[in-house]
Amino acid sequence: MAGVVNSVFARLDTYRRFLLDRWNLTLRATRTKAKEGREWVLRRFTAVRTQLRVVLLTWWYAHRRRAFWACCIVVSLAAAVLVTWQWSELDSYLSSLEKPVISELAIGVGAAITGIIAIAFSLSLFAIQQVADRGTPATVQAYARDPVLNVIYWILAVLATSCFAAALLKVATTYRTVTVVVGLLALILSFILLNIHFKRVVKFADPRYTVSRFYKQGEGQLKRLKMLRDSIVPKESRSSRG
Amino acid sequence: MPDRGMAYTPEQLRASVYRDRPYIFNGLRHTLSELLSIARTYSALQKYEVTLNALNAIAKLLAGYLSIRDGDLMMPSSIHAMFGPTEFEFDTVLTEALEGISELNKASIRGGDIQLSLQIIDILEYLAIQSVGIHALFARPDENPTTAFIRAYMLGPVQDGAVRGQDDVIMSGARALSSIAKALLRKNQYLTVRTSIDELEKLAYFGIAQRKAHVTGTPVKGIAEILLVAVAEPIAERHTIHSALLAEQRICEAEMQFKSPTLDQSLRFALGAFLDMTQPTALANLEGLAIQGLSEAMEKHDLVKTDAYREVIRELNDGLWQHFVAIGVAAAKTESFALFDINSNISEIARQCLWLLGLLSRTKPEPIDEASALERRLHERFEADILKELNWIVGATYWRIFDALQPPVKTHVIWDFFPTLSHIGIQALDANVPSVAESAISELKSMALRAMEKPVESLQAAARIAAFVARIGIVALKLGAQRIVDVSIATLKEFQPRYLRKQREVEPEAESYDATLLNEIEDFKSELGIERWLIDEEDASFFGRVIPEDIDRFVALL
Repeated sequence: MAGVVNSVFARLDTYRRFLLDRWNLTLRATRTKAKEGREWVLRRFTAVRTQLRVVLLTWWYAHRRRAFWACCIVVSLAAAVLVTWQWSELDSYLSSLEKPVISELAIGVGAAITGIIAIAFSLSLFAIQQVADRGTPATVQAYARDPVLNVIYWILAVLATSCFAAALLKVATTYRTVTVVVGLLALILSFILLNIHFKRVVKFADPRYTVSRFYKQGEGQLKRLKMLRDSIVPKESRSSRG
Repeated sequence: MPDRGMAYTPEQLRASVYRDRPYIFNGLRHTLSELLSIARTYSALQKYEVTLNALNAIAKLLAGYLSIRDGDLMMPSSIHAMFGPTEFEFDTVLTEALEGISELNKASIRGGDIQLSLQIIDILEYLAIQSVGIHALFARPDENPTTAFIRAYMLGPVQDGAVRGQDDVIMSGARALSSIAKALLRKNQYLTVRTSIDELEKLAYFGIAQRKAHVTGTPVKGIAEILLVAVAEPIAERHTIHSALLAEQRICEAEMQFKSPTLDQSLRFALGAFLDMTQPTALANLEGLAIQGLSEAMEKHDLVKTDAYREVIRELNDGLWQHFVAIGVAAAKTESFALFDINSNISEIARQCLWLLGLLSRTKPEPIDEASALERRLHERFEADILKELNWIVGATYWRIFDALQPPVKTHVIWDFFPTLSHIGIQALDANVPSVAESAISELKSMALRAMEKPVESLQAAARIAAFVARIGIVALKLGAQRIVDVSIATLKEFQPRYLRKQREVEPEAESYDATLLNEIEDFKSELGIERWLIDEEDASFFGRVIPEDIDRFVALL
């Protein structure tokens, strides 16, 4: 009897050890699988994050200029809407100010624009002369004849004159707001034009730009020569064509 | 020529309008002058990106100008140079611009400004290549005075740079000249190509005089590339190939006046493009290219191309042996390693020509009608020409080179000559061209007899040379070519008494004399027994096909 009991206990002990081993193995396998799963998720997450970053950066690099101009337009529109929406409040505020303030503002803006013309153009001429000394005298000539710079000059001149003329307007409530808005807009526009002027002058200082300018000029001359060449035909051919 | 009922052609009319109203081009001249001024100013400051921009702009504008002046450009041709007034009328716009560019180039070379000089050479090369398609008002169809004019302005400063030892300038100039010549050749402007080859040859002499292999090598490669274009296109007219081969020959002769150590790489750098078989422009590879082109054209029944390739091969082979002799003689005088290259080239050319002769005999057209009869006549004439030149190459080169070797002959390179000749002879037997085998035997005989008077290492060398005749004879005996067997037996019978006489002359007191020739032939049998893992093609052609009994049969006849 005792032998049977011992054998049953021995069998049970074997089962227990077997079950414990199985349990340990299953636990270890589950842990390994869980670890692998976590690593896989982390890897995927890192990959997705890198991909997203690459996409964002490349998109931004490709469209940064467009994004900048879109922002500018949005801000300008927002400012315009705000001014229109608050027009009456602006009127009442400006009416509360002292009378000479508006005309002084217009004169101040006009003087600032005139100053911009004087300083920007004389300084850039100085720089261009230096460039011309190192390169070719034709640079100064090209600078003086440049249509873009001419347009900037005349726009600034018109803006300055308009501001001086606005200072002479009657002190009506509506005129006050118009003068202030137009004056400030003229100031902003002059800054933008000044920026264009600066970039243009830098281009003139670059000898490669001078070369490309001459090359374009040469291409134009070649086109004209080609037209001339095609127009020179013997009399007989001309009459047969006609 | 004016059209019927028309006083002037449109080109003549335009030229006269431009000549009477030169102010038409003032604007363009001013622009070009401004660009040149920019290039000049910034060259002093070494702002090379600006000079490059300015020079590129000038080149493009001038190329545009040339395309507008196509047909009416005033440029004196070679006819003007030979006849008529000596005061030439050149196009003013082009002349002014080129004068300015050339002056800038000269100044940069004087100042050692290689970078600027290379930029100028590049733009002049571009301009010259663009001008290849432009027709001048007076010019023969096979010349381009405009390209020659631009090339002249490029070359003056390049030669100046060469005198000053500016290697980059001369190499760049040579590469530019080669490109220009190739473009001209593709437009069939042979006269200007030939003058380009002459200019390249001049540049090579600078390298030779200064002992700069890389400088010599660039023009040599340039001329070899011109040859490659002529062969590959194929373009064989007005002796362009002859002219290029002659130029290469003269350069090789000049280079080999200077003794170079054995296996010296400088020889390979200098003449490798023309002589080294590992390079695609080597002479034998050009021959191979032409033969391959011919076989393809024949396969496609393209008669025009077939004719063109025939002409190319004919011109390439015409007097080729003389080039080999001239180069070989020069190499022999200094015991140059070039002798190895010459031997390799001859061996390869002979192999290709024998293959070509086999192809020609297989593809002989049947005379069915007048056209096919004419084609057959052309085919046979071409076959005869190839055979004639091959006989000259095999039968007239080696002994002349051997003669030029200074006694005592120390160079081991000549030991390549004899297996090559015997191999050619065996190949000729296989191709059923016995005359070439006879030429090889005659050549070996000449050298064996000469080797008695001018010993190579020792007197026994003469017998060793004569044993190579026996190789051809043994194979001929096996193949049943009785004529060649007779010739080889007769040759060896003529050799033996002379050899014995010489032995007596050298050692009059000796009791007996060694039968060296028979011993050498017997040695073949012992060599047959040796298991050789590495055996060259030449030895394999003999040892791979004979058995000791064949040798015994031949000795019995002797």
